[in-house]
Amino acid sequence: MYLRACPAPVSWTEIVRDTDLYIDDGSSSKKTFERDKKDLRECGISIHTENIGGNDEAAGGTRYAIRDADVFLNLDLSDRESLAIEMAASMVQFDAAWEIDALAKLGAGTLPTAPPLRAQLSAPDELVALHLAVDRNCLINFVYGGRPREVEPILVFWRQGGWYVHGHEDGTAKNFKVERFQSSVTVGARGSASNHQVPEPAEAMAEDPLLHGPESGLVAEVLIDPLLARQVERDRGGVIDRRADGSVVIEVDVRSPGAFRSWLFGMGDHAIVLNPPEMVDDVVTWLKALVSSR
Amino acid sequence: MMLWAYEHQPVSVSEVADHFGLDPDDAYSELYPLQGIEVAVNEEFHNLGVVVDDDGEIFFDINPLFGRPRQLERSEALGLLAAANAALGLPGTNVEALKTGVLKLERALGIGSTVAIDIQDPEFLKVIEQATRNQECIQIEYYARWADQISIRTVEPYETINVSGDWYLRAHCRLRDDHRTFRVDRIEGVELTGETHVRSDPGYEPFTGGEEAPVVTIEMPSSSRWMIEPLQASVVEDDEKLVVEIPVSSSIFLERLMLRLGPDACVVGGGPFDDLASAAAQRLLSRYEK
Repeated sequence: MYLRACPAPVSWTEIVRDTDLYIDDGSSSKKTFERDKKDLRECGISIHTENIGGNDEAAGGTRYAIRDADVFLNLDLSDRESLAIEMAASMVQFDAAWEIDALAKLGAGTLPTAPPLRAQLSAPDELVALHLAVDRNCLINFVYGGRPREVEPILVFWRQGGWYVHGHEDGTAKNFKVERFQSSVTVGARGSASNHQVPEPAEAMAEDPLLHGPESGLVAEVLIDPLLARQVERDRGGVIDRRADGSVVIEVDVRSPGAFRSWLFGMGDHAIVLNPPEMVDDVVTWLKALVSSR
Repeated sequence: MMLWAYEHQPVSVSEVADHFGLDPDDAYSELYPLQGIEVAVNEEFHNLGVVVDDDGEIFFDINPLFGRPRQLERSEALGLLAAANAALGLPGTNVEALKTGVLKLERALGIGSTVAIDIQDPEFLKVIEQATRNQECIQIEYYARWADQISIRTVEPYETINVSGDWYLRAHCRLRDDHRTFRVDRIEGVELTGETHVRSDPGYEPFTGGEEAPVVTIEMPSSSRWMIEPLQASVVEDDEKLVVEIPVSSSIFLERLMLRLGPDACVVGGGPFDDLASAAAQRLLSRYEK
């Protein structure tokens, strides 16, 4: 309280003189003072320190302060803003409950009604370090795909249950899935990464998994039967033919044969490839291999 | 302890003791003296403003020097900002108040929104949110993947929840007269019925109860890992080959998974699922050979 209330940083001698917290300035009291500082830091309260200059007796010592900005948030939310933020934190929840801890500090009350929607997000350990690195333009190092990487991180984003880092490696923009990191993240010095334009998540990585990878120019025509036709048309579009039985033919960009097959076989008997012949051959070869694998 | 107690009001000594793993008497001994603490600064006395009563309840009338919101840890700031930004895109949010609130938070925290949450917005989410909020029954046209069928049913919505990126509606289904979970992006049509329901949400247990799905062990190339990442799979071996255990709620689900994984993957231990993939492949192949 004393450090918090003092208008300017104070020395150990002044703390002993002005408070009755320590009986003297001996080594035992100093140890107690060190323990108290540690307790405060563990509570999340930063203690600002500065060296004492000059040539007098106190020179070379330290002055301590708990500065307003290090301890308190200078936040003036209206009731409507507080309620909106509280509602948001009830709708989007991290499994580490970070937003709940934050609301506790902000002194949030109880919501009048439970939110009708709720999204649960994972909170991998690396996320805080990645956020720090992006916020301070720091290079990051980690092992991915079996080899060490050095990346200039630009954006951290969550999509379809996974966290991704978008950044530059060797000058090329790439995306890394955080749950595939094979080591912890080492964060470099502030400003060690270049400044890059921050893209929207949709620009950083296509929302459609079929569009991941380089353009191949290959477009497949796929026949979807009536059971799934409406759903696929709604999700993908690209209808080039509607048949009398309610089935549709759609066009799909094929950038990765693996991703394409995964999408196709996810529909089971309800979809078959009509064109081009090389994609039909690819699928037929795959199916024949499966038949003969027994 | 005092700060934690202050941030978790109303609170008792025994709750503080529980949180910090202390004996309640020890916690009481530590907290009780806080009432008398005063610090003189420039000849002015500052009392903390804490009262611990004989029943162990803690009350605060905190000194303005200490009673403002504390700085957030980076994880807390990240969580709150990311949640607030994500909620901006969800139905049922007071967008205007949230936007100005987020701006104030960013300014106060001194950090920007460098974490984005890209939550999908399926076609019927908004109307389902509205029905859930108003406890209104809805008629849905639903594609059940496990049964590979479309059905029309009236449901009484309890909650709409996003898990691992997909939205689900938890509801009482009048067709089955039981609790059911529906994936929102597999709902092909929604009609508001105008009828409200009074059934209260029974919680999660009735939705997860019942017979447990059989667990199947699958061996696959490590390069196919991305296909099982969104599933509830437990990794048993992770070397040159990946061996995982997956609960299988229907043979249709397993059949399609094995078709996607391809000839280099197999169900370990055989059993009823031994020929599943090859039979499905044969059936599909016949369509290409027509």
